[in-house]
Amino acid sequence: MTGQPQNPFANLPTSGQLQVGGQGGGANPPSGFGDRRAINRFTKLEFSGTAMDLFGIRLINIILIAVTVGIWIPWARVRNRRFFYNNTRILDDGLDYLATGFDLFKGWVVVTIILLAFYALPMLGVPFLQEGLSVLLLLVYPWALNKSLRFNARNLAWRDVRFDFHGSYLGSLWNFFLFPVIGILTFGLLLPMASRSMRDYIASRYSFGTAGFFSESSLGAYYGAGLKTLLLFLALFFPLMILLISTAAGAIIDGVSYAGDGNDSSNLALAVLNILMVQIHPLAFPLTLGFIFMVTGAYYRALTRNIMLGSLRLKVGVRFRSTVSGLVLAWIVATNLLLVIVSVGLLLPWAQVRQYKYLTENTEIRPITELTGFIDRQSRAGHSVGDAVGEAGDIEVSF
Amino acid sequence: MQFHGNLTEAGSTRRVRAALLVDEPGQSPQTLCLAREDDTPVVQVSVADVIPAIGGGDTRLRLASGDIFHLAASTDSRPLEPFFPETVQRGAVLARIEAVGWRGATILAVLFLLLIAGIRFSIAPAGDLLAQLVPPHIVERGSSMVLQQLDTLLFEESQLPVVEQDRIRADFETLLPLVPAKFHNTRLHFRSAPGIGPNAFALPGNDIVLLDELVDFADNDDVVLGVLAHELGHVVHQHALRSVTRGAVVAIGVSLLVGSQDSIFEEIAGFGSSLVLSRQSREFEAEADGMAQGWIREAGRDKQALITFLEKLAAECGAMCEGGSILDSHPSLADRISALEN
Repeated sequence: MTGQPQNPFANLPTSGQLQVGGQGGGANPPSGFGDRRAINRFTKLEFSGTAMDLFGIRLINIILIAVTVGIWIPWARVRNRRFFYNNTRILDDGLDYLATGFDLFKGWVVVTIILLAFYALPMLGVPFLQEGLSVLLLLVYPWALNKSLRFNARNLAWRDVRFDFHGSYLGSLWNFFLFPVIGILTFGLLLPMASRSMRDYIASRYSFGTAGFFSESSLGAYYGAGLKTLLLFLALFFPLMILLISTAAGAIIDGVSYAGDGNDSSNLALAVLNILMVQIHPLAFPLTLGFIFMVTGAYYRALTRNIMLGSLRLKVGVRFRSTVSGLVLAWIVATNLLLVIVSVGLLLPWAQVRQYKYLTENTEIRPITELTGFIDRQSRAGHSVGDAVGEAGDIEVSF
Repeated sequence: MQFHGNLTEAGSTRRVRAALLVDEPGQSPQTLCLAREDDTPVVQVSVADVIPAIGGGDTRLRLASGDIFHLAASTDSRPLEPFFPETVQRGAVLARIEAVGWRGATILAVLFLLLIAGIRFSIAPAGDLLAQLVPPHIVERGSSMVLQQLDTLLFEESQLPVVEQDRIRADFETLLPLVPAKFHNTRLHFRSAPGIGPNAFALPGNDIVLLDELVDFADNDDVVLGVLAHELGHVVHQHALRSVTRGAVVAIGVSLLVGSQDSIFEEIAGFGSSLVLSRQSREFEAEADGMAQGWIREAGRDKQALITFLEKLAAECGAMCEGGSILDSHPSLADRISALEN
């Protein structure tokens, strides 16, 4: 006969489920039962990973990738993702990343075969065949992106309910490719509109189990973010230009002529060019500009993230909030880049954890009931090779 | 022993505090039992699948019933391992190796730096070895494909009169007996490319392309011959092929280091390695200059011609194409001239 031990909970005072309110007297319930107390108030997400953890994972990965001549890369990716998701705790429960390295590997094999065939095409000797197929591959991109987003969503679970993503081909083509390009072509005038469209599109195509996400943010808020970003860009860019032009003008006053018999303005332009390209370094200007773009880009991302999460709803009224500061994120991104370069990549895990932790811990969730009513859609298609193909195409949109 | 955690019902967000029990008083040996807080009697369970904890996250155990049991990472789950499916054990071992302390991290950091240094210093030898392993007919095939592509995208037909082409070719062929027999079949192709300016190229195989613009720019045949000798130097040392294979080694090295990373850091690694490749390209140029000067002397031609050409280039182009910085593929014109003069 099988003996069953005594239930260790039998003699303990019950907690969690039956406890009334949050601040009730007596001992705090063991961690993990914040659900009731979290109702109708914002609770921060937590991140329980450390840079040291990631450091170990990363370096063991590098060694395994080197030893297996690259075959380990899909497994390395999975461990990397698992580290970030698993340590992201929403109301005390971590996310689970369910994909295995082998799932990713299958997608990689398919993509590798397609690419090999593609690069071998010129051997056939048909003119313009490769160019024609390149266009075709470009058209496949939105589809592959949808697949990739779906693969990662379906392999992400909270408790035992998985996320999902239902992108449409035209929706992704418009929001990820055409609209942003239009935004840039209009000198940024339509860029906030494109950002809003993309963020709302992503948000409302995600679902958690059978419950859908929904977001409709205000266009004015996005233009506000765009304007602030422009001001920051000018604040960083102008002092640089003034410094440059005054140096150049100084050189001209000292009697140096750069334009031969040209007029003053072309002389000044040439002097600026001369200082940039010859006296400093041909790459100094593009690199500085790139750096400024990166910093302002981070600032803009932070502001639009706040807007999007602020308007995000999960069916039955779960609300979210992002309290990321644009300047802090820009500072983190800028200093991370410098530290990673200076440390030849050694500090990369630390930099990534620092940025991820900041974003996570400035994200909040506000349920209106206990979050026990969500049901998984029960489709196990998240492991299909087709979806993994998109994933292997190395396409990612950070959410 | 009791292992406390959370039990989530299959396919839902319903969750209850629970504990896995092993060797508790009254429990049959070698059994795994589950106790739930919400009054359900203790039942015997088995584990279907495990995702080991990583960092400070939870271990995720899927029970045979489909329910999920999350165990805090701080819990020592080793006494539970006999109940895990066998395939899981490997993952657990990996997780244990990854959990390095300060000492382990230091060792790994040193290994990492050694790896970077190793990749940096193996670019040249590994790339050159790879170049030797490529079968010659593949190289020839690749070379003619490159020429085809360039013809489609950049080059136009040469406008040089046939007489002039023949004279230059005959001149060029006087150099061939001076190089190893393997390169005696080096072909000279005449093309035009107004967008590129005065230039000549060596392709990965035994092919040299001479642009009309260079012939126009050069003052006499000795200059053209000097440039062709320089390109022949590239051919004999297989510089184009070795650049390609060294580039491949760099690409492999970068993907090993940051293959599972954000793209921005891949860009940085790529930028760092392009510095190394540019430096090696400048070494190639200097080597080709040296070879060219030797052959010109052996052929009894004007060895001052190449120097004159570079000086003219420097004078007409100005500071913009001076070259020689850490990013340039060619050494500075001044350095090349002074190297040739010595």
